[in-house]
Formats: sequence, structure tokens, C-alpha cells
Amino acid sequence: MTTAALEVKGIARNFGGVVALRDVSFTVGEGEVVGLIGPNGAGKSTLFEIVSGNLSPSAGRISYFGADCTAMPTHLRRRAGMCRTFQKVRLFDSMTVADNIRVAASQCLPPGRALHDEVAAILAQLRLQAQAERRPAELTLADRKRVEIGRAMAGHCRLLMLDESMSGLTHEEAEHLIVEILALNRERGITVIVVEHVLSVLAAMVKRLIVLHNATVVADGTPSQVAHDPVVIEAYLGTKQSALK
Amino acid sequence: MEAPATMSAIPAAPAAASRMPTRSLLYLFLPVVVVAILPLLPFVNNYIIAATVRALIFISLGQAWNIVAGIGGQLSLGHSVFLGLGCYTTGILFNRYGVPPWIGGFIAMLLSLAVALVMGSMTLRMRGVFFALATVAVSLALVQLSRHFVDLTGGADGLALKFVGNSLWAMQSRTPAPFLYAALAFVIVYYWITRALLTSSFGLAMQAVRDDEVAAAAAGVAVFRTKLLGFLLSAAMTSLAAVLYLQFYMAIDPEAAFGLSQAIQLQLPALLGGLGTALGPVIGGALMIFLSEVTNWGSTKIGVEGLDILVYGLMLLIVILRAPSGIVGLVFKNAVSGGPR
Amino acid sequence: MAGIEAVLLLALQAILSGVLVGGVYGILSVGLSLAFGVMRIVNFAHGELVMYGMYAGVIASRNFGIDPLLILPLSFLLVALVGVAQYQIVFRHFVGHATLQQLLAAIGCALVLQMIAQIIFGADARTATSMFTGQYVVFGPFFLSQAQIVAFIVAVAATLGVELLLRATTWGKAVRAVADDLEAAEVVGVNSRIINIGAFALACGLAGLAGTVLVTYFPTSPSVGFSLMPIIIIATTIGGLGSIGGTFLGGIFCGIIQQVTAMMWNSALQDVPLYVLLLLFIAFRPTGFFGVRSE
Repeated sequence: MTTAALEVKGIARNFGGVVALRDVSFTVGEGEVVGLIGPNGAGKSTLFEIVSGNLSPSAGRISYFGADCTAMPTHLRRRAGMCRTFQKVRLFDSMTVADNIRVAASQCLPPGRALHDEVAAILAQLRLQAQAERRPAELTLADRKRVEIGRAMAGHCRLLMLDESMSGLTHEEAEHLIVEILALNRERGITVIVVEHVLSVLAAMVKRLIVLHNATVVADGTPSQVAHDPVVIEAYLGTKQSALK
Repeated sequence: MEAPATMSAIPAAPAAASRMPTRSLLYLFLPVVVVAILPLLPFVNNYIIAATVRALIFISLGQAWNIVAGIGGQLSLGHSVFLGLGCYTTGILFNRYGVPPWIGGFIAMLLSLAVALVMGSMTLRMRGVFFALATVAVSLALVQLSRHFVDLTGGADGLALKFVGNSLWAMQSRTPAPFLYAALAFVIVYYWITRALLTSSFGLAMQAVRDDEVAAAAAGVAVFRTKLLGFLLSAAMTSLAAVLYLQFYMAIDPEAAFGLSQAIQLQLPALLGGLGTALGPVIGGALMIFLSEVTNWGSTKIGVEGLDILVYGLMLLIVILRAPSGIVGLVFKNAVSGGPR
Repeated sequence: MAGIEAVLLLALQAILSGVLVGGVYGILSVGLSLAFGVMRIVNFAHGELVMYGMYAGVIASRNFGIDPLLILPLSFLLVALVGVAQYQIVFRHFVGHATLQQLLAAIGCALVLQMIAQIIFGADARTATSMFTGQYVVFGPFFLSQAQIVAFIVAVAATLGVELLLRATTWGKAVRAVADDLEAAEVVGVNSRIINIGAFALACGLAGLAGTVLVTYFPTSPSVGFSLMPIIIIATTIGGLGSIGGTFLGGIFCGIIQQVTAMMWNSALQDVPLYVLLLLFIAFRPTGFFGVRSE
């Protein structure tokens, strides 16, 4: 019996006269790894900000493990385990890697868990022990992304939302990152939602793709189903071809 | 173009500098000892002691401001509000009602906390520049208000404490030596508070908010509450140091209490020495008083006033343009991080 | 009835004076607003630039016997040059974001400029005399200072001039393009660096001009810059940072509130309602009435 980790019900968002999201609904089960894709301007970022709590919807509700969290502020969502990364990596530049993680760990620590242990565990999980005392400016992009994921997971994490995590990485780096994320899902049961606009990146990673286009969900299925869905193909390419290379 | 007034922090001196290896505590130990035995040294007269007291009081005010601005990243431009509230409240309670400064200072602190709570609640959700302007507005309003209510505050001429001679109860002394130890105690305690804060979870949360509010929220930090608490702590510390200020100078006036010039001066120790570090305000403050004494000595020879403010302004510009992490940042650029966790 | 009539007359007198004084507050503040709108620079040293304009008027009047109003273009140019120097040395590193560093650098500039003035001119207050100083116009039951009327006219003319410049000239349109969307402007070939220097020079020149006209009825001293900053900040916040016309109207609004408070309540506390308004605006409407870019 799986509880829905995330239920998005009828979310809509306007900016003045512009409709950014229109009746977006979907459910993500616990432990799933889901991709959220769509061409630029489809509304992915807006939806992401609404789900993570930075933006309030014009209509609709968000449920997290059965509890309505539409009005919950970002930091409380995070403490409840709804975690996110940023499209452009946003680390605390004045702090070391360990401290970056420590911030989140100290705010989201489950009772009975020692802060020191939690930080060490996260560093170990993401193989960052060697960089623990270095500063973000000294790290490669791939390493900074891993730190951000570590910070996003520290303390308590049941749902991890990744915002275009692969952008800027080489093919090899992206593959390594995907492996790490899938490991997190497997070993810790973290539900993962990955937002991307390049389909091929996700194809290997997810078993389910939700496609946004023109402010609403136009497809929701396995990668191969979605890739052959004519609506999706048209959205991406404007012609009728397979979207998967 | 960006939305109005995003306040990004000055790159604070590397956190390593705030977690200096313990052997550097020796560097601090020596000056503390020197200051402590100052009155016993043969060539030291009251003028030197008084100058040292001035420096130490100035440093502790700088340390207090460093909490909200350096660690918290919130530019409280009009921070003199709390200096003035501390001084006037304590002074009025003493002169009119005979309340000893030990109690008066505590009441003053409560008042400062209340004011900080109101100000912070109204402005800390906004972009930083508006918070900065709001603090300036309140401080300048208080200048005008304190000039106006002459019966209460002594008006533009200010307030002079009734002198009762050497008295522990009234915190008064004919010589500056007792203030030397009081001020030294303040500096030491405030230094310890800063260091403790820097390594604590709350302090880390403050620094996270300073570095990137949005990311901090995404890491679980309650941003508004963190900013507010940092502001309250800083206000309380400033207000307490203000009591020492009043008791040492025995007088206060609207400009010295709430004025913009004063407000700016109390920012300089941290800015010059190293914003966000524990040692910064100490070094910066000491340097400033030293420079001030030198320039004043020089300017009396030339017959010009205000040269020390000019020097402050130039130093501020130099630091901002060339060494934004202050002196500590320059000196400890390559410091190995480490220290007790 | 006579009581109410007297109060009404007093209020109207206050309002009229307020409009006149407010117009000058407006022109004092327009430069700050312009610098912010184009480059997101909050020039905390703006008051000091006004102060230099005031001293220019004093020198003209006291040392050369020339009416300050005649040297307005010269004040404009001189202070604009000071502004260019300030920009080149300090502000050009901080264009684009109103950061902590920028504000502190501006404060540093303010201290330096203030102290240089103190060293050169001494700390005493000085006044300048124009042909209108100290003279009054009787306008029905009202007394209005001629110097203030002339200052108001200059203020309105200057503000309209700036608006015209920004809306009708090619240069002005380039400035507005940079203010609205820097990247887009550069894409179409606008050299934003030159525009920025020019706009900043204009902003500072306006401060100088405003100072020269102000000193015909208000004394100057090295610290006058800091004492004018609160009004300037309030006018720009209420009117709206980035909006020229809005800031000017904000200045008039401030002038009216100030004079009415002075006349009806207490002149020593004339700025207090303004501070309260500032706080309220910051808390609830930081972009003012006409400000650029809401959150």
C-alpha cells in the first residue's frame, strides 16, 4: 500500500493576464522517481516554485503524504521533508561544505539523532568527505551540485525535487549524478521528482514522465509511451517524429 | 534589471577566520593582559587610560552591531537608536527617579528590545535597503523627538548625569580605571558571544540567511524569525554597552545618542576589521581609535577639526573597494580552518 | 466662526508654503531617484552634492557679489563633474544592484565629501543672497517668500526639463531603455557604460542646481547634507524610487505635511509625521506611489 507522497490538485497560477498554469493535477506515489518535463515556457518553473512553497497558487491544493500543505511556508515544508535544489546552484558561499550541510541538518534534525552523526552520514553518502572543509568557490560544478543535494537531504527528506540538475554538466558527470540520485531513492526510499527540459537525460532515469505544455499536463506515462505520444512530439518538435533519439 | 535593492552581503571574512586555531587565543591573551595591568604601569596616566576606555566602549558597540550586520547580514544603518535609548533611559531614570544604572540599564534593554521588535517586524520582510532606511528614519526621528521634549531629555543640550562621587551603586567614578575593567569585560564577553554564535546552529542559520535567503528557507531556516532574533540580540547588546557609555561620559545629547554620524561610526570597527568575524570589530575598533588619536593630535597642530571623520571615510572606501573582508580577511586569508566543533 | 476661519487660513498658508518648499524637496530628490532608476545606485552622498551646490551659491554671492540664480548652470556643471569623479572612483563597481557594499561605499563618499567641505569652508552656517532673498509677496491674506517662489519655479522647470530630456531625446530614450532592461538595451547597441556616466552626471548636476537655489533661503553648513537626506529619502520612497515625476510629487507631499505640521502643531517636530509615513510606506508599500518595479 503506497501513500501518495505528493498530490497536486487543480493547481492554477496567473501573473496579471498571463496564465502560467491551468488545472494541473497529478499524483506521485511514495518511492517513485518521476520526471517533470516540458518545453520552455510550459510552466515547469512556476509549478516547481508552487510545490516548494516559494509561490502561492491562484487556485488548487497541494497534499504531502495526505496533509494539505498549500499554505505552508517553505521552511516548514523543508522540515517536513519536502526538499529541493535550484537550477543555478545556490550554496552558502561563506561556509564550508560541511557547514552548508550542517545548516540544513540542524534545522531539520529528527529527534534523537546527533547533529554530528547526521552531517557525517550525508557527507559519506555523497562522497564529499574529502571536500568537507572546502568552500563552494573551490569546487567543480558537479561537486557543488552534490553538496546542494546533500544540503537538500540533510536531517529529514522524503521528497526530493531537483530543478534542472543536469544543466552545465558533462555527459559523464550527469551520468554519475543520476546514479547517485537513483541510489538515494533505492537506499533511503526518497521520492524523487526531476524537472528537466531535455527528455533524453531523463529517459534512463525515470519510469514515469509527466509532460507539461502550455500551462497544463498533456501526457503522463512511461518514457516510451510519452516519447511516442503525438501531442508531446508536437510540443517539443513541432513535427511528428519520435522525441527519443 | 533586478527588482529594487537586493542586499547581498559583503563577502564576510572566511569563516575560517572566525574559527581560528586555538593557538591564536594567545594573540588575544596578551593584549587583554596589557590592558588589565595598564593602570599599574608607571608611564601610564589617566589620559591614556581614558583613551583605552573610549576604545573599548567603541569596540563593544561595534561588536554588538556586528551581530546583526556581520553575522546576520542585515544592514542596520541607524543602529544608534539603541545606543540612544540605552543612554537616555538609564540617564533619565537615574536623574529623575534615582534608579541605579544597574536596574535602569536593564529597563533600557527591555525598551530597546521592544523597539527592535516593532521595527523588525515591520521591515525585515522587505528587501535590505528598506530595512536600512527604516532604521535611519527611526534614529533621526528620535533625534528630533529628544530635542523637543526638553523637560524629559534636556533638549538639544542633552542630559548630564548627577555626579555622586565614587559609587558602585551609581556606577560612577572619579578616575577612569574602574571603567577600564568594565569595558574590558564587555569586550571579552561580547567576543565570546560572537564566537559562540558563529559556531552555533542559530549562528549558522543567520549566516545562511545572510548569504542567500531563498536557499536558507529551502534548507529549513525560518528566515524572518532568524533575522528578527539577530536584530533583537544586537539591539540588547548595544543598549547594554550604552549604559557603560553613559556612565563613562556622564552626559548624552541627541546627536551623540541617535545621530547619523554616530550610527555610522559604530559600524566602522566591524567594517574595517572584518565583518562577521569575532576578532574583526576588536582590531577595527582599536585601529580606528588609534588613527583618531593620531589625526586629532595632528589636526590640532594644523588647526583643523573633523580630520578623523575624513580618515574614517577614506578607510571605509578603501576597505570596500580593495579589502571587503576587512583586515581579518586580509591577514587570515590563508588560515587553516579547524578549531573546536 | 472667526476661529475656524483663522485656522483655515493658517492651514492654507501652510499648504502654500508647503508646496513651494516641497517643490524644492522634489528637485533635491529627483537626482537620487534617477540614479536609482537607471543604475540601482542609492547615492547616500547625494546630500553632500547638494551641499556643494549650496556652497557654490554662497561663494558666488559672498565672494563675487553675483546672484546665485545666475550661476545655476555653472553649479550644475561643477557638481556634475564631482559626480563623475565619484562614479569613476567608487560607484561604477556597484552598478546594477543596491548592495550593502554600495551603500557603505556611498556612506564613505559622504563622509569624505563632508569633511573636505568642513576643512575648506569651516563648520559655520553660511547663507547666500539672491535678489529675492528675504522678500515677500503678499497674496491675499498670505505671505509667501519670493525666494521660495523662484526656487519652486526653478524646481518645476528643472524637473520638466529632465522629463523632457528622458522622453523626447534619443539620449533620454537610451537612458530609459537601460533603466528598464539593461540586457535588451545592450542588445540594440546602447553603450550602457556611457549612459550610466551621463545619467549619474545628470543626477548629480541636479543636486548641485537644487542646492544653489536652496541656499537663497536656507543656510548651508558642512553637515547640511546629512540633515537633508531624511527628507530626500522620504520624498523618494513615498513618491517612488525611479520615477522622476513621482519623486517630485513626493517632495511636494513632504513639503505640505512638514509645513502643516510645523504651523499647526510644532515646528520642532515637523519631520516626525514624515518619519512615521516613511516607516509605513516601507512596511506596506516600499515602491511608493509611482515607484518602479514592485516585488
